[in-house]
Amino acid sequence: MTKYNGRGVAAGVAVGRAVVAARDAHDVRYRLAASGVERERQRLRSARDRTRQQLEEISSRVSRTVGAAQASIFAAQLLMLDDPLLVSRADVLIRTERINADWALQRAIQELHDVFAREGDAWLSERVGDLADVSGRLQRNLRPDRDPLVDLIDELDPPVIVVARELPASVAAQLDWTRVRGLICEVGSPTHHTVILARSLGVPVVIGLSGASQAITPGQLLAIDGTSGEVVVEPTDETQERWMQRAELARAALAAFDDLSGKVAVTADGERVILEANLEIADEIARVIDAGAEGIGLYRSEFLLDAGHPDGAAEEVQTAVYRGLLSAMAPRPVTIRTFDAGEERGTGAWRTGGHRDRFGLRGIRAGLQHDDRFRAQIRALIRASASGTLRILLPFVTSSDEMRVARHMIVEIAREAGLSDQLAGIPIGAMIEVPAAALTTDALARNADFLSVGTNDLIQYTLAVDRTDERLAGHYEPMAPAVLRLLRLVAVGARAEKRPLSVCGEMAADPLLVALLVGLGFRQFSMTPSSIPVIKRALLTIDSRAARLLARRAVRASSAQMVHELLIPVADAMHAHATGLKGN
Amino acid sequence: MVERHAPVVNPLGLHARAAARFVHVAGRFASQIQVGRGTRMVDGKSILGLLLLAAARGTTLIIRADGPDEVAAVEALASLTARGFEDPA
Repeated sequence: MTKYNGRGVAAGVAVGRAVVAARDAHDVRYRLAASGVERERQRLRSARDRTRQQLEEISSRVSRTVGAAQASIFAAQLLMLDDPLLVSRADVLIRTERINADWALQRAIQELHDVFAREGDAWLSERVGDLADVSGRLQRNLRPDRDPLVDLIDELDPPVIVVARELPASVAAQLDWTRVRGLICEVGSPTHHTVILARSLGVPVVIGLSGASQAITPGQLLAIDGTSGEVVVEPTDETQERWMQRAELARAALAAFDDLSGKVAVTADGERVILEANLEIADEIARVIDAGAEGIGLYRSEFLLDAGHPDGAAEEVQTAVYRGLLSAMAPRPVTIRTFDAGEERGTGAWRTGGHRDRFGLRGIRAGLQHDDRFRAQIRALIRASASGTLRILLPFVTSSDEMRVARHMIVEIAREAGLSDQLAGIPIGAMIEVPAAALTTDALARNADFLSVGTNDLIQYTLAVDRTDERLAGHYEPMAPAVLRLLRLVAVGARAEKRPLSVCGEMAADPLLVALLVGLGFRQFSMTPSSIPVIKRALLTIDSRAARLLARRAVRASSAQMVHELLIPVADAMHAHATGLKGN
Repeated sequence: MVERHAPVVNPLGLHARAAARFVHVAGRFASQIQVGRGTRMVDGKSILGLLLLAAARGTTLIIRADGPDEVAAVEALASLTARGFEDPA
């Protein structure tokens, strides 16, 4: 039994067998049941046959067009394909070590590379290149159509815990999450789409476990706690039983929450709090309603631009998606954030805000410059608005004037499309996610019908911390007094202009931070659906007057650590309440 | 079993294309073929094995064959080596 500690970013406890996806999920490793051996050998043979066919085709084409001498290099690759040290060696590994074909092939290749490296001399590069060519082709041919991880998880018996260096959102979107009970990543951040997705599906996630994809062997039994960040490899029977019980308790506690599901959220002293849901995928709407959300606080529309939706940005497709959302939630409000994506320079292709876009042309900036896309989205939103209660949220606003210009533009778009009447009743809000917006909230509020705080970005920009940078893992700190002071400014500014104010970043899903936010004056939160019952219960332990005193001390604290300490009694109260519930 | 020594004479040594030709010739014989330098021997019908020998110009290759056509095999492979694996000069 070995214990690791990472960072828990999606609550929950799970026990399951490890599936390891090293290097961007293209190198997948797992151990086979006896019955799986023949299938894997067959896959390897098929991959070899496909590879041979491709090499022969290339070879004859090159021979015809360039000459036999150049084609002979493919003859060498064909010989490598039949070499006892490559495919045959992998075949032996599948049989003797019962590992999947991808893993076996990787091992055989690695063995060869090791020897090459040991024997290393100046003119090895040509040979290594040929070997790399042929082995890369073989690996691709093992799974010609799909991402290996997707197929793999379909083949395995659940429950499965995926261990990856990093799980790309594109892969995550294809996974069968009913089989994946937990996720462990070496890097990543709680704001990574994969993590957000896992959370929205109630799957526990631990990140920041450097070297996990090497240290954890495929097939090992894992216990993972997505709250504490604990990972136990090959737990003893006793430990396993304890963790199973914890998983069971978590489920039981969730069942107990059902008692609250029909009730609105209130603090211990009866202050009304509105809890809404963040929505990633339109299909998740049933979960949102089940969780007791009073509306959608944030729908990230740029998901419509992802690879899986090639026509996602088409105006009529958008209209249909928005209509579906609005009518499913009606009469509850749905807040749709306009595309927060940058444009790939020169290609016209859109992409969601990645690393280089952090300070770039994104959000409303991109919307104002690339107005065709923005115009189409605004028209689609207005056309869909009759199906329910729509709120339009503009991302990445940095000044009151920018908001004014954007609103003016929206009015113009509506007028040109003959949609002015429909636009009249739709609130248009500003996302507060950069310090510039937070510092000028009162001015911004005069040009916005409502405000929504995106804490994830606000924290990154305020503290100058890139959350995807592992080296800075400890520096991202929602409880930093600087962040809390900005949030206080936002709350005060919104109140002065009597504008509805919501928090839709991750902070809203953390019960302790919600206590602080309530103390700072926030009364509306939007979070991943599975967090709603958790927050609803936590609120019952929070006295708004005590929270206000707490917040007042927190903003004057000298460090995040001090704020943590201030929150210890709050955590104790929540724990007592939770255990009290359990006793019933 | 028959054994012959043959010097590697072509400038590129036993590189990928040369090794391919070697394996091609070795494959015509039924005998088991071992090739080596110093104390290291590899399968003469394995291109990767041959590449791993990293036999540069000036290396002396040991060619061994064991089987029904061992004499002809060693003769053909030693000759190929001496001709610089038919590399264009």
